[in-house]
Amino acid sequence: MEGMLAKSLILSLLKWWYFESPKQFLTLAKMIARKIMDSLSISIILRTFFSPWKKVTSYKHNNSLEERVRALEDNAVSRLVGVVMRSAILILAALFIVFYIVTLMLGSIIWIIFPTLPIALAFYSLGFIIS
Amino acid sequence: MNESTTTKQIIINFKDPIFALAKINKKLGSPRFKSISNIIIIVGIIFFALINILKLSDFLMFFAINLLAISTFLINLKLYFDLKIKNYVPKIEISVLAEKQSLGNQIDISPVLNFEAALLLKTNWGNTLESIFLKICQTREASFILYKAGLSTQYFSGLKIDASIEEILKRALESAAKNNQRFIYISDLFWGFASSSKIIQDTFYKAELDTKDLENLIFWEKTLMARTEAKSLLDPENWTSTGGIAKDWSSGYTIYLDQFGKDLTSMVSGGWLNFSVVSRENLTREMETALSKQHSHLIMVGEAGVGKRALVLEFARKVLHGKTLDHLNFKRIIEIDTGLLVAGAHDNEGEIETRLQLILNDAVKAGNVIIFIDNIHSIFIKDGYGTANLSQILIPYLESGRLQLIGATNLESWHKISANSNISSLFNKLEVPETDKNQTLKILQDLSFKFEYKYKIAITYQGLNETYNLAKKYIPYEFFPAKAIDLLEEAAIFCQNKRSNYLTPELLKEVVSNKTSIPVSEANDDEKNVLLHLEQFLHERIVGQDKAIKTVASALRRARAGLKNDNRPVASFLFLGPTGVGKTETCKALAKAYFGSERNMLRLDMSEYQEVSAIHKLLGSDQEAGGYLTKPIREKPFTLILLDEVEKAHPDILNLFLQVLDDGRITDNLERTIDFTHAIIIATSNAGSELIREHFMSSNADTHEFGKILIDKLLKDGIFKPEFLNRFDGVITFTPLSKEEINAVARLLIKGIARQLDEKGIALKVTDGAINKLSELGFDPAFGARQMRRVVQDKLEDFIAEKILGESLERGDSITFDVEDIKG
Repeated sequence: MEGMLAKSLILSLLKWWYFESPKQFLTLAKMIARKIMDSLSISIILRTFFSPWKKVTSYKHNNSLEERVRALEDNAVSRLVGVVMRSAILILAALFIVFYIVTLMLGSIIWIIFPTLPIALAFYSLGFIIS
Repeated sequence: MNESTTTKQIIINFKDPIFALAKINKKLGSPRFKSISNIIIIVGIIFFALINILKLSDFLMFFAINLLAISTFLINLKLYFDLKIKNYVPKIEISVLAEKQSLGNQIDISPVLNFEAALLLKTNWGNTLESIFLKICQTREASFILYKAGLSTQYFSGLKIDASIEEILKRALESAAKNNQRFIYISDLFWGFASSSKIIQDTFYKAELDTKDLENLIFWEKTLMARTEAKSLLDPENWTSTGGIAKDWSSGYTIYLDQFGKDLTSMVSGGWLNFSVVSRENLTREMETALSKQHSHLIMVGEAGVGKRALVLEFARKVLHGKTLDHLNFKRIIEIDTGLLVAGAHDNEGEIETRLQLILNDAVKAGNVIIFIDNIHSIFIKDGYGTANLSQILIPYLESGRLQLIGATNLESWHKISANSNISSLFNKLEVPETDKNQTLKILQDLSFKFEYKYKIAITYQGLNETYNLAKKYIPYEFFPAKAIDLLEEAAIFCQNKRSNYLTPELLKEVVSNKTSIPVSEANDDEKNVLLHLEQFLHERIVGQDKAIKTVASALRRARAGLKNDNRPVASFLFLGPTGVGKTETCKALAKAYFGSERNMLRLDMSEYQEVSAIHKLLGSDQEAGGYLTKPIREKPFTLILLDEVEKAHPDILNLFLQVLDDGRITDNLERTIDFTHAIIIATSNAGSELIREHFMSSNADTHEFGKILIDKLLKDGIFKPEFLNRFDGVITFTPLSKEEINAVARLLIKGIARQLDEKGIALKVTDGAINKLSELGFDPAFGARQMRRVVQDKLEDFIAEKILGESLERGDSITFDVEDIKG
C-alpha cells in the first residue's frame, strides 16, 4: 500500500513538475512583475513624469516681468527635480527588471534539472567509491 | 474501497485522485515529516559544503553527496507539497455540481471534497452514520464548533441518527455552494448531519441553539480557519497594490493636515486595525457612488455606534489598495482631529478659523486628499465651537469642487443641518443603519477572540447570542454593533473580576441588571418573595383599595414571569376615583417595586394638553429633539408613566396614546421610533367620582356590575371613547376612604413622621386618642387622604416643630402627642 502511494507520489510529482508547474510559475512571475511595477509606481511616474516635484510651484499675478520670470525659473527647477527623481526610479526599475529576467531564466534552467539532481548526485557519488 | 453509490443522485468515487492526494497531503504535511525533512536538508547542505571545503576522505565525500541527493529530493517534495498540494484547486466548481444535483442529475462529489473530509469519509465509509458523525465531532473543526456551543462529543454518543447519507451529503454540498466555497469541508459535513437529523437538532436545542445558530457557529469556524490558513501566493487576491513609493510625489506637502489630522489610509496599511470579517460591501459601494464625481461630497447619517467610522476605515482600505474608482484610488483619507483643531486656540480669536483654512488649503494643494470629519455638525451648527464661524470657511471650498469631503453625523443633527439647503445640497447623503442580528453576531464572534485572550475567559456562542438579545431589549437607545461590543467587553471584565472562566448568559444578565437597575435575570429569592407578596408591600404605603392593588400586582407578576406581550407596555391601567384615595401613591409604590425607585416615574399633568397644538410638547418640535413624553422615555425606557387627570387632555392627544397602548411605540418629531414596551402606563382620572362616592356611600360593594355602570356613564358622557378604554389592561375603581381607612392613613402618616424623628434619635409617641381625634378632623369624603395629610401637618408636625425648636431636644429624648395637644 505504502509502495503504491510512493509510486503515485513520484509520478504525480514529475507530472506536476514538468507539465503543470510552468503555468503556475508564469502566473506567479506575472504577479511578481506587477508587484514590482506597482511598488516602484511605474505607471504613476510615467503619467506624471514632468509634473513639478511635490507640486511645489509659484506664480505671481500682475507682478513685474522680472518676478514672473523668476517664478517660471522656480517652476522649471521644481519640474527638473521631479524629472531627476523619477528618472532615478525608472533606471532602478530597469535594473530590477533585468535582474528579474535573468533570475527567471536561471531559475527555469535550475527548475528543469532539479528533479534529476538526486539521481545524478547518487551516480556522481559512486565515482568516489570506485576510485 | 470501491466506488460507493449512495443513491442515484450523489456518489463518491473512491478511485478519484483526490483521495491519493489527501493521503499524500497527510504524509507530507505532518509536523513530524516537516521537521525531519528540514533537518535533513539543512544538515545535508552544510555537511556537503564542509566536506568540500575540508577535502576529507572519499568515503565521507560519497556520504555527503548522497546526503545532498536526499536533501534535493526532499526539497523537491517540499516544493511539490507547497506549490501543488497546498494550492490544489478542484477542476469543477461546487456551484455547477449543486445546480446539476438540483436538476436531479447524478453527481460525484469526490473532486470537491477537501483533503480532511476526503480522508475521513474514505477511512470510515461502511461504518454506521453514528460512528461517522462521532468521528467528525473529534476533528479540529467540529471540536471548535462544539466548544463554542458549550457541548462535548459525549452529548452525541448513543444517539441514533435519523437521516440518510444522501440527505447529509446533499446538505453539505448546498452549504458549500451557498458560501461560494471551492471545497466541501468537514464543517459542511457537520452541517449536513446537524441539519438533516432531528435528533441532533434536539440536542442542540437543549443547549438553546437552533439551526440558524448552528449556521452562525459554522461560519465562525470557517472564518477562524480562513484567518489561520496560510495565504496562497498563486491567488491574485493576496497580491495587493498600494500605488508604490512615488504615489505622493506629484502631490503637495500637507504640513497642517499632518499636524491636525490623522491619516486613515496610513493607519489601515500599518495593519493596526483589526477588521472584522463582516464587510459592509454594499455600503462602501454606495460611498463610491456618492463620491463618483471629482467634486462630490458625502455625508454619512447614522446614530452613534452604528459604525460610520469603521465604514470609512473599510473604504480607506479599498482606496489604499486601488480597489475603487480610478480618481479615488491611492488617495489619502485624512480625518481632521477636531480636538487638535480647537486645542489651545481659545485665547486667540480667529485661531480656529485660521487653522481650518490652512488645513483646507493643504488639501487643495495636495490634490490627493479626501478629508473626513466625524461629527461634522459641530462645524455646521451654531454653538458647535462657540463663536467660531467654521461653516463659512468650509462651504466655499466645498462649492469650488477643489477637494472632496466625507462627513459623519447623527440623525438629530442632520435634521438641523438639512434645514439649511445651502449646506445640505452640497452633500450626497448615505444613511448608515445599525447592523442586523447576523452581522452583529459575526462582529462579536470576531472580537471574542481578542476578549478571550485579553481577559483570559472563554466565550460561548450562547454568550454572544445573549449579549445581542440583552442589548436589544435593555439598551434600546444605543445602537448596534457598538452597544453589543461594549456590553460584551463589560461582561468580559466582570467575568474576569469574578474569577470565572466562562462568560455565561447568567453573568451577562447580572451585568445588564447592574447597568440599568432593572431586574433582568430570573428573579432571585428575595425578589420572588416581594413579587409574591406584592400586595403586602403596596399596603405598607396604601390604605384600602384591596381590589385595585390585587389587579395591579397580578399584572406585574405576569410580566416578571415573562408572560407579557413584547409588543405592548408592561402593563397599562386607568385608575378612576375621587381625589386623595391613593391613585398617585399607588403609582409611586409601583415604580419603586418594579423599577427600583420612585424616581423612575414620569408624571404628566394632562390638563396642560388641552389644545391639540400641545402635541408638540409631548413629541418634540422643530427646535427641540424629543418632547416631554418621548425624550425621557428615550433616555430611560424603564419608567412608570403617570398621565394625571387624563380626561382633561384634548381627544387628539388621547388618540396618540392609542398607539402607545396598543403597539408600545410612537414616532417622535425626528421620526425616531420611541419604545414603550418596557414602561408601565397608568392614567388617572377623577371622572365619575360623584357616581363612585354615591355608590360606595350607599352599598360599599365594588362589584363587577358597578364597574360596568361606571364605564357606561363615562362613555355616555363622552368623557372617554370606547377604543381608548379598551386599550387598557384594566380600568380600576378606587373607592372613597372610610373612617377606618382614614384612621389607618393617619397611622401611616404618623409612622412616617416617627421614622424621620428616629433618624434624629428622638422618639415619637402618639396616643390612640390623639390618632382618633386627628382622624375625625381629617375625614372628608371629598378630599380623601389629602385632608388627613393637611390635618397631620397642621396639628402634629407644627407641634413637633415647636417642641424641637423651643425645647432644644437632643438625641434620646422623646415627644408625646396627646389629645390635649391638638389645638383648634
